[in-house]
Amino acid sequence: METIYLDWAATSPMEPDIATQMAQMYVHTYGNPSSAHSIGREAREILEKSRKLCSSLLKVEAEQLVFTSGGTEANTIPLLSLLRKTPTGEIVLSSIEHSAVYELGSLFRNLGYHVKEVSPDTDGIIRPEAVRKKLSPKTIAVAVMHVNNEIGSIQPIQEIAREVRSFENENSCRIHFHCDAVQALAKIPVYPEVLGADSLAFSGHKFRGPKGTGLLYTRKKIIPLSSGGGQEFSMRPGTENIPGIWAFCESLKQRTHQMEKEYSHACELRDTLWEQVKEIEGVEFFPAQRGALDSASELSYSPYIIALSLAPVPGEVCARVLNDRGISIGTGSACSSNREKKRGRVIYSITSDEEIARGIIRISFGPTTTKSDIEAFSYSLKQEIKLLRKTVRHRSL
Amino acid sequence: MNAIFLVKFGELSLKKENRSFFEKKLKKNLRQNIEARDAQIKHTNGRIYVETPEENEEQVTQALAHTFGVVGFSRARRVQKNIEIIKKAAKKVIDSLCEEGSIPAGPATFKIEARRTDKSFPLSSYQIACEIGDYLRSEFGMLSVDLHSPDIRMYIEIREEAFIYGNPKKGPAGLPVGSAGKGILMLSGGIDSPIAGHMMAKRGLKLDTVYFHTYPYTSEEALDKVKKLAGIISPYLVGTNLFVVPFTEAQLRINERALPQEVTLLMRAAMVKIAEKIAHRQRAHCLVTGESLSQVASQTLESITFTGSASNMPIFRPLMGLDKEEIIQRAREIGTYETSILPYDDCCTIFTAEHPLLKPKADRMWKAWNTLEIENFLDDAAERAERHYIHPRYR
Repeated sequence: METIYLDWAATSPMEPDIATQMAQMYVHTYGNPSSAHSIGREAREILEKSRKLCSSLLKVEAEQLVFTSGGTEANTIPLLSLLRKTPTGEIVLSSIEHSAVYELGSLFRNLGYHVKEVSPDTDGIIRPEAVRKKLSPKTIAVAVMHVNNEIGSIQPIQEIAREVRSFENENSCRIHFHCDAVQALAKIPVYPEVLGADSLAFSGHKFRGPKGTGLLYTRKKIIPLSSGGGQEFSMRPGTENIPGIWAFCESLKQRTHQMEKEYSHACELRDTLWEQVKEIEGVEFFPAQRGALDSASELSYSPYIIALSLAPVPGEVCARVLNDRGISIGTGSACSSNREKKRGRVIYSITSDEEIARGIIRISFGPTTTKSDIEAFSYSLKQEIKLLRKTVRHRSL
Repeated sequence: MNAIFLVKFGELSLKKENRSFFEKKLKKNLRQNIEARDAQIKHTNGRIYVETPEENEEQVTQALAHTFGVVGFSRARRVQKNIEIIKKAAKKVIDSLCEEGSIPAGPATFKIEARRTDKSFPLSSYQIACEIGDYLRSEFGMLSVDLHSPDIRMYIEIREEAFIYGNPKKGPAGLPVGSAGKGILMLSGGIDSPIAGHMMAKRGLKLDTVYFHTYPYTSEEALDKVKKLAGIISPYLVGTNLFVVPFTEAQLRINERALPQEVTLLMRAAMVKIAEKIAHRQRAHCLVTGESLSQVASQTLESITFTGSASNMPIFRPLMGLDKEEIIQRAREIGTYETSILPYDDCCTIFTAEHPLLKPKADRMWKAWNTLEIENFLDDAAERAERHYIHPRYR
């Protein structure tokens, strides 16, 4: 059975050419960039060329970029570095953060910091005013993600940064503004200087790069919790993954060069999806505001990630049924009892409705997704949802 | 070098003329549970000895700790019947108890219990105890004698050879599995049912297990979890067949035809009927469930009266009188708890009414049952149940 992959927000297949070259590099370019001999120097050269390439793509200084083992580490390094700065203070997080950031909130809470959450409006977007309301002179950090990984809402990072900066000026305090931009990079334009955050986190495997690779942008040098051999300007000690770093940068280059074309393709797929599913009873865009497909929604949501609400049908059940038909999709939440709230946390924080939180599926595209993939998905969804709705509706009779 | 274990069994010795039947069952179960093929299991003079190359010692210890019928067991030293050699072996026993940390650091008390079935041995039991006791006190400054509640009980048995061992480990006790017939355990993936299986196996019941898989409403992860649970209790059951019943069609039929508040009870009755069909096929004669009185709506007295009437077989519910905390405590002891609470329960909430019946009337429920016309679905589900053999051996 041919598989249709519609879960690109979870991970994406690597570009075959880049994967092949990367594999060869593991065999041939195995040097440690810290070594003084020629094999080490060769590795060092690739590392610095790669960094330079990224710095030109992101329009930042090379010294502001730190290669990491992935998005989670790129999120963790700047936030945990706060522990070295001050033993108390307040941290403001959005309630829709990926668990890589959200779970750090629990850690800070356990260590005695005060962690405040900012909830989005019903459209899944965090308003700068809402962030502003949570700030106080004790605030040491703010973290708001760029593109939400479950529903695709784009947060107004630039405006939030502006609020944070103006609060800093008025109160003579210093706040670190971190942004998890894992789902944004290579999909929509991301220029750290324009966005105005102090640090941004990126991950390679979300844009056809290799797993186990990530990138941290940091405006100023930070002192991380971990210490070691001084690699990556002492911000991420540990021997660098040269073939991975090279492949990360090559993939970023490819995607960036084709970004506009791929973005329009994603918009077409989204429109096709909407045309097809709006005919199906019991299926809606989530949040509902997305369904308008007007210019406002165009700017507020990534076309690459689409959440559909099937409530009261559990998204998890629908995902299994479609999997049996060879279609891979993601779920917004799982139906599992004890972790229910946790796993449906993002949607729940938008709707406060458990049934809706349970009834979400996520469709996410990539450059190789085709219109006929979407049609096959819509056709299968239409067929299956009928039976599933019958099963579930019965309960409320 | 070989490690030798002496196995003690308690309740079996009460069985008078049936004793050998129970002992043979126990020996057979040990054979099944002990993975090491080169382990020898001997049954002589009312004792079972397990002898195995030393590298298998840990595996055999685990097997003995998980085989019902074993009340206690000791890693023994077998030496020639020579008092000097016996002394050295006794010293080694104390050394290994110290190494294991099973006696307190610092001063400790001990007692020697000597038995001599070989009357040709030149010393009497009392003399053996005195001689070894004196020797141990001179070797270990921290040891003193306490005949009433010693930290170390050392046993010296002069039989065909001399056996020396200290502080026996506890076995799970109970009766050998298979000595009390065979049953079918309804395993759900929750906390209760593995414990129910464990308790009935302890009374000698051989068990096969049944799981109702309502795919896609329940996940493959939920099935994997049940397999894992069956794996954890499998050494106690001396291996088990896990029957995975495809239950979706029956479930949907019930859902389609029954009143929402009756769905759960009719579903339970359908499961009992399918389990009974599998029991007939497996030559089992009872069902076992993890129900506990009034724990949930389907476990009230009235609900159990109805679901129980779905089968002519006895249904054992060993957790009936336990509260949840007690069940959780047992699950922790057996090692199923952490797996049982994994979050892959299922989506069967979509089949559960918000207000299910608490006090169903059996006659009204059977009328509702008849409107389901579900017999063919049940036959089909039992027929298509997939069998997985879950190995007993301790990994």
